[in-house]
Amino acid sequence: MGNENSIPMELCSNSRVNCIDFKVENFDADEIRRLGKRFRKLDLDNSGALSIDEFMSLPELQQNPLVQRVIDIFDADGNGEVDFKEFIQGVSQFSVKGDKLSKLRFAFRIYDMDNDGFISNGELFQVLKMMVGNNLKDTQLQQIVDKTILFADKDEDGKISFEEFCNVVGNTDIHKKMVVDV
Amino acid sequence: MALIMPFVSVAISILYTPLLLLILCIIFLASIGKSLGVRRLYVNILLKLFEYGRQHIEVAKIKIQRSDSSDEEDVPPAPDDNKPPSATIKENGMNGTLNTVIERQEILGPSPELNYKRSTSQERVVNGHKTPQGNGENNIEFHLANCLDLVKAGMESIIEDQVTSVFEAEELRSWNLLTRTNRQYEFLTWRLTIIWAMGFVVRYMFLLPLRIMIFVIGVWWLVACTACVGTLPDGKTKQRVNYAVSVMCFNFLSRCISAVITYHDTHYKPRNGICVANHTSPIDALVLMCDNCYSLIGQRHNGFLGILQRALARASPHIWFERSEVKDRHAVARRLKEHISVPDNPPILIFPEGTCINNTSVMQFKKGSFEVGGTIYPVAIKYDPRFGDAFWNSSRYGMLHYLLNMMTSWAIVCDVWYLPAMTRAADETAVDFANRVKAVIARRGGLVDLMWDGQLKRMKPKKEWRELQQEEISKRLKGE
Repeated sequence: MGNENSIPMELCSNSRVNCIDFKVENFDADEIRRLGKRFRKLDLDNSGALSIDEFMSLPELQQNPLVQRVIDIFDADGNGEVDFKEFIQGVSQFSVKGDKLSKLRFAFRIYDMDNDGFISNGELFQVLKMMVGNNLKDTQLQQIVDKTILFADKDEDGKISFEEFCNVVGNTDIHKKMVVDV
Repeated sequence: MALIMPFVSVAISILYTPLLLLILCIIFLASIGKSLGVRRLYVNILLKLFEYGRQHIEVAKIKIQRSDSSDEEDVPPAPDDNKPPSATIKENGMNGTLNTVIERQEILGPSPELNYKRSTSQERVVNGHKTPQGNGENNIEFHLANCLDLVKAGMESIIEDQVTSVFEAEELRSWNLLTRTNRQYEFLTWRLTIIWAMGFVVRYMFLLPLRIMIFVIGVWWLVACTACVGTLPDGKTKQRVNYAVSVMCFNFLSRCISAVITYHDTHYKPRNGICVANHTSPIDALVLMCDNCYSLIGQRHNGFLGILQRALARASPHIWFERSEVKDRHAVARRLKEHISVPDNPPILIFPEGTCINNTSVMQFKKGSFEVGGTIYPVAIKYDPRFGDAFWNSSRYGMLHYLLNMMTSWAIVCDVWYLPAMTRAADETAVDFANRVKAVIARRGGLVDLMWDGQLKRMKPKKEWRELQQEEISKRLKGE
């Protein structure tokens, strides 16, 4: 991407954000500044990283059934917290300038809970369970899962690879649905 | 200290007479309900000053940008850049992020009672449908892309959410030469800094002492006047005298924050019944009392507020509760009913949001005051944030700090719209009626109409809301 910017230094100096001079695609300096401000606001205990509880302090987010999955994807190194770098990188995948592939990968990761590159039957079941709660019976859910996998699984290995996922989801207007104004 | 004292005493002896005259003049003007237009003139001058500052800042910004980004093809930021990120989404969507995704407005109405009712009734429906659907499960449609709406909604609220943002002071588009709401303008050019410093001197050295004096005298004046009115026998005369005296006293008090209030549609001014308004700060009551006489309702306080409450109660009927009574909703409702059943009583002023919002939005109205019956007179209050932020962020500032902030602001400029009286329709629930009134106020005041509960300021969000969302999703999957 041609529009590369490094994080402005002033952001690093006036917050305890653990800030390395890394390159961020998709955002200009002003957007980074705004996101930095947002990050500091969310970081209630000023630890430089957002914990799950801090995310959950937002009522809108708390009621979102998939919030746990989204935070897990943000948390790239899996330490249970989202630092500023992870925050920016997570949000950048929803930027208008973000490419379709990275958006697809984000969507894929929602289902691919163990990050092994495949959506297994069990993973899809768990995510669906998160979405519907106790409003559908497990047998009903299992049927949906089996049907979905059967439909998408072209090489018949019982799970959905990223490629197979793209074949199903790629032709929907994902680039429109996964765009957020920063 | 010893060196300063003689100067102070000389200054006091020189300034004593003019100040006394000024105070007397203000009392006189307030009592005949006239204004010399000094405050309007002052506000207009301020507006010109801000405009100058804004242009100056823009020029300075472009210069800075040119100097440190010569190789970037950056376009100078459009004025809209200062808009909050999802403002455009909000303007387009009915009510913001999740709503537009879920396309069900009422699901975000997080009133506990409402939720409870909804969920039980829905569960019944769901259970009723489950048996026939258990046979033909094939009509449940799921697509892998179904999660995207939720993910997007989650991302939007990570970047900006509506609920916590209304409990923070609003960001201004341009600097108002106060160092409060906009942090990034602290130093730009020498000229601006000098203007700011002069403003600081005017606000703290001249306006603040004057305003404190007006405030102190105003409070004593109010206590004295209400005590006099209190000695009159109950009846029409007392009410009429009280009306005049209360409007005069509050007009006087309003000068301690240089309030410039414009009242619109005064023919809708409430005469009795219940008056509801959106709530930004304790000043709301003062703003409304300057133009009309209201009965107030609230918890009985000690100390300074207690003195005011007792003073007000002497002259006209107000409803003050003991701390133990406040939790008792029936007692509150009964007292309200008693009050509005007497047609001669002044309208009772209620802020149904139950907490102070930063004046960009209206949050859920508590249904209590809409259950009582009678006529509701909605009032919309919109402050002009350029002259000073009226919002009381009670979790950050105490009452005194807040008053100090108010008295050192440039002025408090606000618009008040009286709206046509509304009554509850026969088949309408109190909650629906409350929402209808809220929508009217939001539209008139140019505020965002939110369904969220203002108590979220202090409370943790509830688990049940997520269950409601899950219910909604499963209903969509079933194609209902």
